[in-house]
Amino acid sequence: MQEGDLLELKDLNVLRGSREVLKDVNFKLNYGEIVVLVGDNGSGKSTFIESCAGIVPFKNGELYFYEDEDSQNVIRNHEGRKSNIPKIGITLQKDGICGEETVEERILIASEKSSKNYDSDKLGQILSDWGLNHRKSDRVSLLSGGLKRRLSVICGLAPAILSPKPMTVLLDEPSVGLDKSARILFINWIRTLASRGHGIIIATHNNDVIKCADRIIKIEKKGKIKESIGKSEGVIVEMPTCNSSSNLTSIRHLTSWALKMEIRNPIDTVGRVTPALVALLLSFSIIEGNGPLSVDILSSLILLPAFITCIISPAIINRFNEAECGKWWHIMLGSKIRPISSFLGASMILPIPLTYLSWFILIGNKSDEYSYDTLFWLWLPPLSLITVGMASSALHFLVSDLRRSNSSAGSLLLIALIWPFLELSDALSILMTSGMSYSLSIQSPIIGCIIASVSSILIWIVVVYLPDY
Amino acid sequence: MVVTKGASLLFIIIGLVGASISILLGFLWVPSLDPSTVNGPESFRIIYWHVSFAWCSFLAFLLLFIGSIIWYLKKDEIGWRFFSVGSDMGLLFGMGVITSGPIWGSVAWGKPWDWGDLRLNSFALLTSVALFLVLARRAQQDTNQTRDTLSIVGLFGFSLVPITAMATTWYQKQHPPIIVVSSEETGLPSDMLFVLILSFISFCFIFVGFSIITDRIHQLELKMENNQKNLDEGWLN
Amino acid sequence: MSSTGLMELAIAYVIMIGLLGGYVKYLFSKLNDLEYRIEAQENKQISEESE
Repeated sequence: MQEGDLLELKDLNVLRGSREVLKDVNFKLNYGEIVVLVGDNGSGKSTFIESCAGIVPFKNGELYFYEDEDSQNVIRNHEGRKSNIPKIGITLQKDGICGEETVEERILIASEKSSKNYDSDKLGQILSDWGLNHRKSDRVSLLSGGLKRRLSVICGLAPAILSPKPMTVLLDEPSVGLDKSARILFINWIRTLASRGHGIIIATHNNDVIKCADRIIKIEKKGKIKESIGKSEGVIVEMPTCNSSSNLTSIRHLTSWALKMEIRNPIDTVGRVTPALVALLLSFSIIEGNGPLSVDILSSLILLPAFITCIISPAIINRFNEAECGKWWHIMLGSKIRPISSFLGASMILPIPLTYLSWFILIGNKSDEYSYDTLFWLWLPPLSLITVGMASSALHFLVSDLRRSNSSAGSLLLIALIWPFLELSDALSILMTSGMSYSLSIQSPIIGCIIASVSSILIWIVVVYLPDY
Repeated sequence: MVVTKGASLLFIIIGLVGASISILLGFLWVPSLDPSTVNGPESFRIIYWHVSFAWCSFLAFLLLFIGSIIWYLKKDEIGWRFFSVGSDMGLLFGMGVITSGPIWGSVAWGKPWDWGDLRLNSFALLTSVALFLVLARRAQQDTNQTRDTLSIVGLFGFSLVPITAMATTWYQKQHPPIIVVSSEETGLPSDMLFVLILSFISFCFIFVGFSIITDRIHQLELKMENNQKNLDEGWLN
Repeated sequence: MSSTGLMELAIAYVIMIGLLGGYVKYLFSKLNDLEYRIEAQENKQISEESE
């Protein structure tokens, strides 16, 4: 078996609030080793696991991963995250799975197999051994708590099972919710994985799991750790193997996941379109009930439904909040999660069609009263609104970082987006009265749209890149 | 502790007395404006407190910004203290500015809000950010992660100032004002200036007194939380 | 809207005075409350230690 270290925590100090949860921790995970973390509730076991995953800020210290014996990669230090972690398997305390995913989809994403090299037999065998194969096409939300937990555990183990190269596996309270037979299966599988060179860290209270440890780390009060030798129980059993390497979780995975979830349950689309249509109907009744309105007011009313779709909180945030699903993606994608999530959370498709719909409903057969260019260029202001949507999405994501984000008045921060909206309304009113102008003057609709987009993009850059700087 | 409380009370009392005197002087001593030259000639007397509120909220937002930077870069406790005091003070004085300003504007210039006015719009945005921060600090657990996120919101608030400057400049070009009015900075009579300075100094005293007490309250809340945790652990043992 | 702006002036000052007065009241009642609660906590800690 290969010798050496898979990961290292050096001089680590981690605070939770004002309490030092981990203090001067020095730890190395060796190839083929099972390390079990024990300690009282709130002692810092989950913090230890999350520190190894590189998602917890360090007061001091460093996290290294070793690609091979000679190369040491700094993942995180007290300044922040420096690079992405290599492929790992991870099971979070709250599963980390969105309820809309199917069992099969979840294990595919977790094992990071592309659809091209997807080996259905091997994944099917894993599901079958754990009693989940008959449920592989079912949504996770339909599973019982025990089956969800099994899925969560095998999603943590699957990357290692199907990897020809030893890797790190992190498991936070994997045995909670598992019945006795599943627990025995789990213990034997991790012993088998260890025999293949994979390094495994498990946080647990369960005595059966503790007995399978090669090394036990007790997290004491005041954050110090104490090591002891474990009993190394567990039997090596037959388990699927794989010779082909897997891909790292990428932006493409997250994008296709987000699209799939939305197609399956279009709460984002419905949640945006409904208030937009209400606003449109109200605008229509205002116009019908009054005499001719000024072009400035009309242009604002035309763009209003599209603006509303842009500032609504994205549904992907709710999906991420479900069972710590977002935390899993954050671990896998690292600092890329924020820009890509804010992009995915923005309303890309709705602004342009909604603006044209607004035009036809509010202006209708009075189009002749306005510039001929208007209909041809009507897509330009809502195209800029997409950048407003990105800024809005980024602000919603920033607020969602707070633990009790539902108790935060995040909409207060969106007031800043009134400015781009005013600029775009003005651009549209100029378009309606004077038509398109290709000059670079401030009166040109193109320049107005550019200014609106630039302000929104500046807001997006500040909100997306500052947290991970 | 008693010294802190006493000192801050003294600052506040001096400040409030001075501010009250400035109102009295402003109403009884400074003559009215000529009604033929302005709308709502009595409404200009809002200036004595409105400008002082604006100045104090500027100080508060500056404190908030400095605190955000210090916490963001150094994770220093002093940064968080500045941040906490800055957000509370910013909300208090900002609310005063954005309520008295539109009231004055609706009488004197016929419109309560001017999208082309950089100061009014900046204060409104920063006050809404301050409101978010105050509410969030009360609703969230005080952890480093919470502080990191909120300090970024503080920095975001400040990035809005140049963006608002750009936007108001653009807006003024697109919507030039019809009536040119003289602002309070141009050619103030000496009696008005005197009352304004008195009010401004008084409000500085109020600001300092409030800041000391607010910081003291935050420190006591932290102490109480630590005591609670010690009591929890003692109970478990 | 009054022609002299006196009513609006009054409303603005009532709001500003209300903000200041309300905040003073909040500060001192909060301070007293916190001092009282910390004293109670410390007394409890002392009595537990003496047991």
